[in-house]
Amino acid sequence: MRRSVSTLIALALLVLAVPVSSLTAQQVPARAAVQEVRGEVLIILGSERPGEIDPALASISALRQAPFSSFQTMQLLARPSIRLVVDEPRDIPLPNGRILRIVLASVTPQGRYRVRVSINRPDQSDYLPLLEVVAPPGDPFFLAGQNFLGGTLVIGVRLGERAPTPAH
Amino acid sequence: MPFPNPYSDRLLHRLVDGDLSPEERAALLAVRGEERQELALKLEGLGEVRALVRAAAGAELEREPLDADAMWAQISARVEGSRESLPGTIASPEPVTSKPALQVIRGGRADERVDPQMDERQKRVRTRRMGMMLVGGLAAAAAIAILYFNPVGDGSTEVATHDVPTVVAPDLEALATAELLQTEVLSVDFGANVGTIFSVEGEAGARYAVVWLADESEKDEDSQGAGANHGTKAPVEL
Repeated sequence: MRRSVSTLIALALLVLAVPVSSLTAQQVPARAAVQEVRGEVLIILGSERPGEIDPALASISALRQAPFSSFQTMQLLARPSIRLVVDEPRDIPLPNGRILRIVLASVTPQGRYRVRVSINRPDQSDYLPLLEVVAPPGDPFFLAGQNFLGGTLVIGVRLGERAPTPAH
Repeated sequence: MPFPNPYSDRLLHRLVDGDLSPEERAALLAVRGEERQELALKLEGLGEVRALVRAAAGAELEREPLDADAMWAQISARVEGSRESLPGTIASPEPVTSKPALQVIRGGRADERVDPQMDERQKRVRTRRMGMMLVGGLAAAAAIAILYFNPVGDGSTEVATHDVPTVVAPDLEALATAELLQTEVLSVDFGANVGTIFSVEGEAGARYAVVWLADESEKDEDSQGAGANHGTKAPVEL
């Protein structure tokens, strides 16, 4: 009798588990079908010499934190827009002659972007051979450290638009 | 006989109940003056209380008069009747004057049959019922889960999703996406340079990855112009 009751309980749990697992699979957003991702690249020159912070950078709170906060001068040199397609490299020339190459490797099931980045001179591998990053839509990541004009280049890469925060 | 506390409640109750000896009663009632008046007031009050108690008890007794003789006669008759109904019982030729012996009276649990097989069957039935109830409960839980979590698909499910309250959904959503609100460095090849990886806090608690790579291969080849421009340069057209 106990065996039959255990069998019934196991069957009931199976009945409960099958629809829940199928629902979980259905609720994963099918964002992998995104064809093109828009973004932008921030090319910033920071210096510890006294100066001004570019007003266009004032809204980026991350640049007010260490170590970026040590820059007393920050100038937005360029802000090119980009459009990325999976596995199609996009080259952005930098003011120091190097090339920033960005490749959208994939879009994760959660909607984040998996990106490969390199910074080198043409046909060389002299600075950053490879960097692989995963980033949510609208959240940037930064590459910094290149010497330029007595200052430091800070490159921010931002892909997609951040989802609006739900109102409470 | 002297009384250490001539007006104690206990002494007054004994006086009213008639429990005092003649000497005690005479000594207590021999008080004079103000003490006598005080004693009279106390006795009067005690008498009123007793009258109230008697009145209440009398009303209760009048409502349900207790006839002890009739009650015992009824019990004896029932006991005799049950004894005579037993098989093989010989009626006593003389009336029973002593207390009847204890015996089982019909109507109690003595009438229940003690059948081990029936008991086992009842246990099985109970176990089966409990199992069916458990299975039914789990099936109901599955049905509720399907109705509640079913995403919007065809038209038939839209009604269900509109009816289901979504109070808990934002919190669950926030918990589920907390780990996703940050950029992560999966791998990096610094080449011949020295670099480090860290993160800075961004908007709404998000964390932004920062890769800081020393530019050892190029000692600021543009530093000549930098001295004239104080580290700044006009925006570059890209």
